[in-house]
Amino acid sequence: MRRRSGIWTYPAVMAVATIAGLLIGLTGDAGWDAISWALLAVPVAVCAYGLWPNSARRPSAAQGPNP
Amino acid sequence: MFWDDDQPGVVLLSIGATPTSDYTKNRTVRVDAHRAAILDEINAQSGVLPFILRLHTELLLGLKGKIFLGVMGACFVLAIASGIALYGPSMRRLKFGEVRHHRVAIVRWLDLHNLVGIVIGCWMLVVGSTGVLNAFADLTIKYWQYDQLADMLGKEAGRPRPETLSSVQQTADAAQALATGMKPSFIAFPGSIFSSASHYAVFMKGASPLTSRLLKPVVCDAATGRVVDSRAMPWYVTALLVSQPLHFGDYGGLPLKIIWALLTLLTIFVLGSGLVLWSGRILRARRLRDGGRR
Repeated sequence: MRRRSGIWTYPAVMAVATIAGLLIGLTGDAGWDAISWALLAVPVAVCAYGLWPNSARRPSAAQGPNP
Repeated sequence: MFWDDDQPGVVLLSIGATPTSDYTKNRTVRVDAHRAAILDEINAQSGVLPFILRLHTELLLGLKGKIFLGVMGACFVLAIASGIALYGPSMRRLKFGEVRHHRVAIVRWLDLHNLVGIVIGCWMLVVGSTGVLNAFADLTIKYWQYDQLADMLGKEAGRPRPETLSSVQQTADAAQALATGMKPSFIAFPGSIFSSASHYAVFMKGASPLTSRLLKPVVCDAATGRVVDSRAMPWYVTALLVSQPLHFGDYGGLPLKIIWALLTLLTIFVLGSGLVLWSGRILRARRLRDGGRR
């Protein structure tokens, strides 16, 4: 079983990227807009990778069978 | 009278038959700001996009539709929050983004639902909660009119419309002198819904990307153009004004709109996969129940 903090590391990174992207786009202009696009594109790219057929992580052999 | 930053050199006028006529029946014309010539009329009520906007904001049902959608939006936010709470327990034995392709279809749907849901969960919460705020925008503005604007107009609100109105330029200049660094976003003429018969109300906005979304009302005497009162918007109107771009995603240019559209499609996937999981659970329960009877 994984530690609770490990479960939330990547979701926390996604949340920070999203909030930062939203706020930077709202408060900045020009170059800041580009940073906003890049940050908000991160969750889109992660989802696209996950939804791409057979691209998402497969369970590793060392991890053992899953429920 | 209002200005649109996307249309420089153009002033937009919303015109009613009389100062007290129903504002929803106003006609909007675009006027060349330099030549004072009418360019064309904007028909903001008909067409595909206005129809979709009314469907999205009020289900074509007016205020009842807005309140219904506000309540549905609150349910959406609760559903996302509960989904995030369930993510931890369901991922105890899995790595982030892991999809169990070797398992039955319903497990794959669960893994994909968890992956997309947690990755865009924060965005869904922001768009959902700002949507709830927007659903109650009419009521919020009504409350502000009752709470603040009536107080700003004060005892003079009952005065009749003056014989001769101060010029709009003089009024705008007076407002701009008070709110330095700001420019008019729109001017409510005497007798319209955001003013009284004897006042102009000039709504100023800032110059930065964020402050250009916020408004500061300046009430001016309709006869003399002098400033009567001005105050910052209360927190609930500021929250509403900030929530609008965060809900619609119309503040970061075309790339942000494209990203917004993709995130919306992913949200539909989360909702659809949630339905697949829910129907799968129902079918499984029915199968178990039927099997138990035999």
